Amino acid sequence: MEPILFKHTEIPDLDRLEVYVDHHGYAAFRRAITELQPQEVTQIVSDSGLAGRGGAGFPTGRKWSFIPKSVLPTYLVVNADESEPGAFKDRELMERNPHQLLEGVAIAAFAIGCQKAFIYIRGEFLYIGEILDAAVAEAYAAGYLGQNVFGSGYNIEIVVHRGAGAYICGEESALLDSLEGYRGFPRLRPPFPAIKGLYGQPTVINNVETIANVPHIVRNGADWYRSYGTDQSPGTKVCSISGPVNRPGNYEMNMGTTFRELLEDRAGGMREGKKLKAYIPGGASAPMLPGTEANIDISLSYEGYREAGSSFGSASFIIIPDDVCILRAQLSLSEFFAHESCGKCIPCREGTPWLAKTVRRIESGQGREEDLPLLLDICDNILGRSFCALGDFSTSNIVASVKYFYDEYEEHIRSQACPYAHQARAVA
Amino acid sequence: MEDHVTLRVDGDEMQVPKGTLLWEACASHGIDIPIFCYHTKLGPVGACRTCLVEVEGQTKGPITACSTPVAEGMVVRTRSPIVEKAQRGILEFLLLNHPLDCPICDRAGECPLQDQTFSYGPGTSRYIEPKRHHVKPIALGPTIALDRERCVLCWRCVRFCAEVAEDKSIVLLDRGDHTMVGTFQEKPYVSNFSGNVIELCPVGALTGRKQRFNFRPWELQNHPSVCPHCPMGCNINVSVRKNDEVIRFLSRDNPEVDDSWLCDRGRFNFEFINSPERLRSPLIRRGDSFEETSWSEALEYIANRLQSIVEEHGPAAVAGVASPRLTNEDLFVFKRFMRDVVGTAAVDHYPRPQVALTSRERTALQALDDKLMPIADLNGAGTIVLLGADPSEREPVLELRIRQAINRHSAQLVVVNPHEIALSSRANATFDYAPERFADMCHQLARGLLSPVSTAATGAISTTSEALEAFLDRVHRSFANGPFAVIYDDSFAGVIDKGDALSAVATFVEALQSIGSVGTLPLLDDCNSMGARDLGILPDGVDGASWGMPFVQRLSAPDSPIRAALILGSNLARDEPDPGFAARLRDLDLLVVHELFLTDTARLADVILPAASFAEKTGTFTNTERRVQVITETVPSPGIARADWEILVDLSQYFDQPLSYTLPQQIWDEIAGRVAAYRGLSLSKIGPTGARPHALQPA
Repeated sequence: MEPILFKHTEIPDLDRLEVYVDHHGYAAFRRAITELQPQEVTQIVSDSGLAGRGGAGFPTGRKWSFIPKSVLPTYLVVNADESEPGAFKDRELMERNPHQLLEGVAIAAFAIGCQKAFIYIRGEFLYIGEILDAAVAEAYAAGYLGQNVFGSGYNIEIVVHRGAGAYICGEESALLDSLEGYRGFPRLRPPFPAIKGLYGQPTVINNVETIANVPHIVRNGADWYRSYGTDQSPGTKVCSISGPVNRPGNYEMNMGTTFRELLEDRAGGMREGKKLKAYIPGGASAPMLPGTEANIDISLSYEGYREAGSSFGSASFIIIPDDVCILRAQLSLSEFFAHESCGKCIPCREGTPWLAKTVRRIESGQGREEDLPLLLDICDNILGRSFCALGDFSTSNIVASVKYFYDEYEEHIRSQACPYAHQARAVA
Repeated sequence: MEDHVTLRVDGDEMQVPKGTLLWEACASHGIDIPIFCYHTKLGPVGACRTCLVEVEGQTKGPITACSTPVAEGMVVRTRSPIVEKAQRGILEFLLLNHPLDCPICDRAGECPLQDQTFSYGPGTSRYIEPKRHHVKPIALGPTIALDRERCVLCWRCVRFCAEVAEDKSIVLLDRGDHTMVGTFQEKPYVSNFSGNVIELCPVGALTGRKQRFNFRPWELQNHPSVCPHCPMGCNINVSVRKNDEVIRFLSRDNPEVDDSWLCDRGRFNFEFINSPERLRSPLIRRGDSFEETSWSEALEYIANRLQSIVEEHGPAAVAGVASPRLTNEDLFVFKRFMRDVVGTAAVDHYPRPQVALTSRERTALQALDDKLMPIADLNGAGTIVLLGADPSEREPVLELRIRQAINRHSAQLVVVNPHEIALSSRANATFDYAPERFADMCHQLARGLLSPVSTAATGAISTTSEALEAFLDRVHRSFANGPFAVIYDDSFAGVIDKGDALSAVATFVEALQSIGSVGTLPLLDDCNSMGARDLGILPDGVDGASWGMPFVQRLSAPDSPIRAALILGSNLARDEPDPGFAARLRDLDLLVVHELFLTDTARLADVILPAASFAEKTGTFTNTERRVQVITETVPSPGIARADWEILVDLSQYFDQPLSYTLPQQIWDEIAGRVAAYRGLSLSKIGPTGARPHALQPA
């Protein structure tokens, strides 16, 4: 398969503007603003079936169409606050092909009538922010951004804004708070960002990978895009795979191919001596699946993982080998959610540390019979009760790990010790 | 019912206005849904998740009633198994790290967390991990102590500071389960309104530093009353312990007046009532000192002296001054005593603007009074003009009303003041002037309003802010949308000719009326200044009408006829800037002072009579918008102190025409029958939140 988003793996120096332009760069943007109406652009994206690549998988064209036509200004915000454990695809897209993102931003902005777009980048991605800054400066100098682009009368400004280190700011409404200069807390909905978003104006918030697809779709058409992937999940997906595999990294996969292809062909299979015990398919918020043959053959698609009782999410695959204590792995996830809870709502603020403390207690050999039903009941009291989805996310792997590895939890409680104790340091 | 929607809650159908929040809709129909973060006076935040209810068709589980607007056809369950499990779960979470120190917590007994845990909670906790600990308590500022372990992070204090007082002082610090309430860089929380966060706090996390550990709520009885500390007339509950000690003032929501807020000056100023320094019995001068005496001896002595002075010099030799902190009933009896018992017209109240008005100026005052507006109508104002008036100093809660009008009702604000005030930062236009040139400035503004193209080249008036022309230009633009509210301060500090200043305000208001309708609100001196004016506690002027020469000027005149004075609660010796004035009082043949304390003025008296404070008597105050509100007796007076009106009724028994009032209600009935401003305003119409006589008249 010829890559769509990962052309940089084949073309050297694609991060340089002249190389990017030599490979059809900014042609789609030129076509959009000189030949198409904004609603035609939105229609093409709708027809392509492109869905949000940040994890939620919401149809992108539909999201754009929610923006009212008569309320100005409107804003486009790119969520580049990639910070979920297991996810590292957006950083490569920005680092290796920044103009692909900028062209996508320019086209998407045109489609929603926006003249000022923001890229909210995770603060820790310091040097990637510098790459984006340099690319933005290059594009302004070359006349691809700024006033009256291509003589079309259209103006577009892109601002790169750095976050300050909070997982919650990847939640889109908290991201808006943070972008406005406030502390990031998720906002009440309604009103939804499409009606009242950044500075109270209609706003579209899209993930980096989603936007990076846009130039290709506009240049080659919706039908071309639909020639990739499945009916329900058209296109490709950049999958991050990490853990004890031979070639961990990012791979752009045609949707509908199997996880086996990603694991065995692209990532080179498990490292020697390691066996697949379980894997998390969609980042820390997606329920883990045991490493059964059937689960290895799941199709890489939203529907494939939905049917398997998990979530494709951001396609961030975390590989858990058989010599790792599942509680140890779970503890790492639970402590992440407890640490990153924003503190706004009670279930997430109080529930996530309780989960983490309980898992830690069981793992360290002080578990009680009643702790397993307790864990599940705490999850039940968080799930669907928290202010934003981050509370829900904290429960999904507890529920999954207890469900699939109940024996391992029981073993910890029965023996009042971790059977993997001698391994603990290796995975801490 | 186009503007209403119909929904079903727990099987019962209800109709409520569109846009109503589900929690409010349920509350208005007597359905109790537990809340912590939600507060009817603050915007929803949806943080505590206690108010989860089931709404049919919501696939993602229960939703928060506090932040969800009602919708047509909504089917809601507030008591289903899912809801009850959610409530138990949330309360269990709330209590994980909450110390169970109710036995030593000030809030216990009136604590929403305690109450709701009993009503909706799980009864036991499954939490066995160590609790979260904080250093406690810490001083958030001079008035408020913070116990972070008790805090449930409901955001109420944070939202009060952000939305109501707009000082953004109290914020949330840190993240996750380390989140805590605090101030930026630990700056002290200093605010005119800090006490409100004590009442807003749904647990014992925020307490008054002076009141901590002073009382248990179940010992207290709350009596409805009115704050006596400014003319705003905020409604309060006076909390009393064992029927004899005032413990605190609480707010008592009157949406027309205070909208449930109190300022710190009002809230924390109650200790004077319980003070051991209070006068407990009449005192009579013996040489340079005072001696306790009985009522009969004191009153007989006063009556004899007054009668002999009247015989010798005529009734005009007797004058009386009353404080506008007295009730309408006190003031009315005072006026009757002076006029009908002693026979003198020489009455006045103090403090008041020290001016004798000409007939032209009285007309101006009347014109302004005719436009007196209800405070709550500020919410309907297009533009609010502060004309030499700073509500934050004089009537602090009015500042909050103005902020509310700006925030929630999009009013514009124009600040015309000699210097920057707290509200200047919210103004759409500001203009300053040299205080002594106030009247000129009003006239110039009036001329500028009448002729939009200003030709007056008078930048000289403004000292630091916008030049007159630029200001008028802005004003013309923002004034496009009336109605207007003009708030002025008729003490006119720094102005020599206060009568002229009053006329100038009237001229300004008249000019403004060429653009749109105008309502006025004066800032006055004391809690019943409006009542004192309405009851005519003013000296006659040259043409026989009121607003004549103030008592201070009359007594200071070389040919003053005054030989005896009754001073009811006015502290002239302290407040008059002229150092010679105390000597004028001392030189009187007879000085009688009604007082709570041995004040500078009382020390000059021949007889001091111990008076009841506002908490020890029943009566009425008239606030700045002419709302008559009832205060009630909550504690007994110290010793044998009595209400001012009672003292005067007793004193009148020694005269030929004694007064016969026995109850304050009887006095008000007479006021409502005889005083033009209050005609027809019977006590039954006044009710628990007061009434304005204007509201009685057809519009």
